[in-house]
Amino acid sequence: MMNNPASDTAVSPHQSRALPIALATAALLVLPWLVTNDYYLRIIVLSGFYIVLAVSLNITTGFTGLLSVGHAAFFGIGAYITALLTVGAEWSFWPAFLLSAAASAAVGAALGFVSIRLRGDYLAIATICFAEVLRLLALNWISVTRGPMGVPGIPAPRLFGVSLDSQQAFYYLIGVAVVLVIYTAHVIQASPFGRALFALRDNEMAAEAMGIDTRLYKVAAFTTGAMFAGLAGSLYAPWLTFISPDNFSYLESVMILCMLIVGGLGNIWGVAFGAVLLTFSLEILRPFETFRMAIYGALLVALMIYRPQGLFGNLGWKALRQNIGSRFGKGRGPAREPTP
Amino acid sequence: MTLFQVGGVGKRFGGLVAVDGVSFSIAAGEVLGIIGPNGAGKTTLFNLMTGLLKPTQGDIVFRGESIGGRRPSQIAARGMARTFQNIRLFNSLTVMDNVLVGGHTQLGDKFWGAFFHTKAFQRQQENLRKEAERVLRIVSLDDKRDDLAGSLPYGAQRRLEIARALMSKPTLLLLDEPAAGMNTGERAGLIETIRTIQASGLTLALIEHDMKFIMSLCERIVVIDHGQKIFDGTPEGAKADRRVIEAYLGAEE
Repeated sequence: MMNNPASDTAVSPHQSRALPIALATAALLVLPWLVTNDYYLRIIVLSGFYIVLAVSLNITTGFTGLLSVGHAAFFGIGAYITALLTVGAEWSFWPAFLLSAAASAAVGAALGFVSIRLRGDYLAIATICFAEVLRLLALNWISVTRGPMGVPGIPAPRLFGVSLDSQQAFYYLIGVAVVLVIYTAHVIQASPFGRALFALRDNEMAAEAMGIDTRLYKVAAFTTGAMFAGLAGSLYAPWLTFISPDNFSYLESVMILCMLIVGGLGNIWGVAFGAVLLTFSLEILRPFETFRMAIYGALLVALMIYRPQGLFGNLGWKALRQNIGSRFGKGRGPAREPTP
Repeated sequence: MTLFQVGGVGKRFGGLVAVDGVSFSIAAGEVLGIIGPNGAGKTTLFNLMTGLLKPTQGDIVFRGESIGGRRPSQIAARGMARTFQNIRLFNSLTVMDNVLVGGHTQLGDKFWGAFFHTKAFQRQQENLRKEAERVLRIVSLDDKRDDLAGSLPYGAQRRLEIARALMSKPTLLLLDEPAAGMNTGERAGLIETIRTIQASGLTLALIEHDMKFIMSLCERIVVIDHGQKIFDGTPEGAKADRRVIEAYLGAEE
């Protein structure tokens, strides 16, 4: 396919896309040196964290249809493990980083396993409870987590003896995580593994009858999503330098879910854009103070009325038309089951 | 040679006995028809055979091994595929992707080869795609491969279910009312398709209401009524059997 002789004469799609991609990459690489305002750079880095969270939740909820409202818990597990190991136990960052991602993945697998029989609203409630239990644990297990006092003074990662404590350094660190999660999500989407996840989302019984062990794939979807959230959390702790249970509340999980819905559930670039958009709009609305969340809420409601599939809904026009058709009783066969 | 056997299989939902001690076998290469009035327990029987339901009694043997209580995915991997009475496609996926999902059990590596862009993985994907195109031609859907499955007309959706099942290279294919809702022309086409499938060496079992459809395909039929097997033999024999006639037309008081 790559060595198609026809592409020698005509401009191949690869070539025509190569230039914009190269320019965008270059722009993103120099961005932290162009944005001199530390506050703006912080918002950019923060949106990087949310991109990782949204794209990873999209694997669980968008690809597989498992409605999880506890994603912030995995983010918190990653952050707390890194914080406690680097501050209390004085580990260096990198082993703590790996352990955070692994532990978060393991907890994700466990949650996936106990949630195998739950779906839709019930699964959502189970994930909310799970996340709340973990938050309460962090809040009350004071001898380990310092409870509401939080963990202060989290050291920045060091690489080859250099402390990566600048905003630019975190920009590149989270940038690597963003690239990794988006690449992985794309690979999943195009692989038989991803196809199995989509199949399971669309029709669990048919997927099982076609030889897909749906239990295994549900657990895998939870594990993958949790791992990336843990990885993001692990970078988040030294970036903030101080974490407390408040950082990983239920509202945080809802916010990540909103990013998915705004961007377009299932669409990788869509949810990444949703993450950036919501992060920035919350900052832009800061001058409105008291009314900030109200305006934000109204905007979300308006979006859901006028564009229920999100800004970049991946269903496409064709499926949308079919959905409308079946809503008015014109569609034939079963209507597409709504993805949560 | 017996490929598949159910022995005294029963399924009870609380007080309701849906399937009551049914026994029959399917020989390799044959097309078995399963008929019976509405609510006789035919689909429940299929669900027991494919593992979607666990039998409350009896045993099911497929390719020389008991499969009662196995997961549907394990049974599918052993070479049994099915279609559904109420169509169950992956509606938000394309026709091609639906068929490729059918090839799930044929694949070893499902992720890492894609992550590292290995040559072996690309070859495997290429072969799978070629096989999918071949299967789509059998059911004449090769020109629809990029359409969304949910957007297909009804008859095409039924054919797509068959294609998806064929893609798993099954030894036994179960079709649950494959002709339901089809017009005469579509039925004739479906009969041709099923004959082609049979000629390629597959064993089939199908549930159907249309006797003409059954007659033109099956050498042997099993009749189910009230969860029990009341007849096992040739279609002609069934037409003459008193209990079968009673089941369909009602007994004389």
